[in-house]
Amino acid sequence: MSNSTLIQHSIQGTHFGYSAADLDYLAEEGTTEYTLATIVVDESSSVSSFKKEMEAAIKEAVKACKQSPRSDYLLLRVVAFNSSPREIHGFKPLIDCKESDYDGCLNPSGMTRLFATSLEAIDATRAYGQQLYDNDFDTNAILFVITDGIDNESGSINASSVKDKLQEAMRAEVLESILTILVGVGVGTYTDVDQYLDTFKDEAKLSQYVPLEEADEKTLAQLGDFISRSISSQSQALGTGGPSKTLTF
Amino acid sequence: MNSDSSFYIGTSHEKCEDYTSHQDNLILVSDGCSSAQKTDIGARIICESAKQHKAYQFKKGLLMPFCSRIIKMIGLPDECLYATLLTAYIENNQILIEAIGDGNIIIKTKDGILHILSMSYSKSAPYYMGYLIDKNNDFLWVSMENNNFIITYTKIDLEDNIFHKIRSTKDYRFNADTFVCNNSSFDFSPRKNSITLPVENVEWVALSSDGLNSFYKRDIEVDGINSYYQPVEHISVIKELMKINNTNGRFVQRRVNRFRKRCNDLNWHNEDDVSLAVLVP
Repeated sequence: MSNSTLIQHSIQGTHFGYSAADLDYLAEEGTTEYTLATIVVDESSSVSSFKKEMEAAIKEAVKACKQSPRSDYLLLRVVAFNSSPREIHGFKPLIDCKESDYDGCLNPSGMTRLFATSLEAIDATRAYGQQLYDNDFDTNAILFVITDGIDNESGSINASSVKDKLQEAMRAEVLESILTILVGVGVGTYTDVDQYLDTFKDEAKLSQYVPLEEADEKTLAQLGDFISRSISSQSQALGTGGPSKTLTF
Repeated sequence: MNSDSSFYIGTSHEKCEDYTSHQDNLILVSDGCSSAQKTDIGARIICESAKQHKAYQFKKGLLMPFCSRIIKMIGLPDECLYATLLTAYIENNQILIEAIGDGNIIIKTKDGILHILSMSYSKSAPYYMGYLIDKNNDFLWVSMENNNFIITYTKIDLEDNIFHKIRSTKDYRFNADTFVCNNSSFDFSPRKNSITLPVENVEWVALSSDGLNSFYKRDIEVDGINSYYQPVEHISVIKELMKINNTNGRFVQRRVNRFRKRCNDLNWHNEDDVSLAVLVP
């Protein structure tokens, strides 16, 4: 499947949307359950110095997920954000995600619209989860938000708004569980950013905050591995009624 | 065109004696007799043999001798073939449904109406496929007193109104004008039931064992300690189970998975095995 076969959806009551694989296509695959995985990655100007390493981390995550025994049950969406969100690709089967698709996928510039993009990613997951639910697919979700900075572009949307959206998504009961993981990249020398993101995690009631002191090649390669392990673990938890345990980086 | 099927064990069973199979234009359901030995295997042999022979040889009487040879080769008792068989397949723009034994035939016509035919026997002793090659048991079954064949025909409209219901114990003829759709034909009898429907009038056809008639709701008494079980009418079970929105891929497996979760929410329990196969023309 290529991106061209993804169907564009708008979310009722909002001005944003998402794209996702056609449900009939998924049904033909013969799978009865899916884990919706979303990677939301910061591409504000401050990411410029480790753009390639960040792209490599996404590639590593995709590559490792493909080797997971749960690879047939994963739908991946990747979103980049700076002053506005940009869908690199919508929810699509992992088999259709080529590692080369992520070469040059980030274009660092602009500000950090962290809260609003997190909120929209949760909403897109809930909306597509609803569609899957209506067609009898069992579904859970995992969402990564990877950033190196402090929000400066979300306007009135704050951590509390993200918490409300997350609770709304869980109350809808279309997703068996949702795991939300915030990753702070290169926060070792920026204790204020580290503290800020830790507070965001607490206020938004996200599942986990993973601070990465460095933004070097080695650390971001480990991030790719961590993402794939977390996705596989959440996918294995599908059917148990709850989320997987959060993993150690 | 698509077909799919699924089955799962009942709470009172040690092993699942229901079995389903499907292939392109053919669906099959078999329910093994609980009081006979190895009928879980017998039900599978009957289904898979019927599938292998595209069911039509069944009409020529070749199926059961074939199954009999198989069980003899692997040393299984004759009674393992005491199982029902319900089949539906498409041939020449017609859907042909055949049923030996008890169970449910559920048809959704293009006008959105659900037609439910439930076949049962008053002493819970259905006719089994194995009797076709076991003259002694065939005779004993015929001689059984008060084991009336009961066929119930229920129609449910889009607003969930049950607007037509016929329960028959002696005369198995229905008024052709009221049966399922135009140009349909049927032949009901205690030993074998057949229905023919034009493909163009049918959205889907589903077959199930009598497991849908064994659901109980667990209620807690006011004291919060004692619980009791109330039977759930099979029509309610069928309405809940057959909420099919998407008929692609493993749609029956997905529907059954969701139905089982819904049963947990509703406190419904199935004592008997449950099986469902659906054919979408």
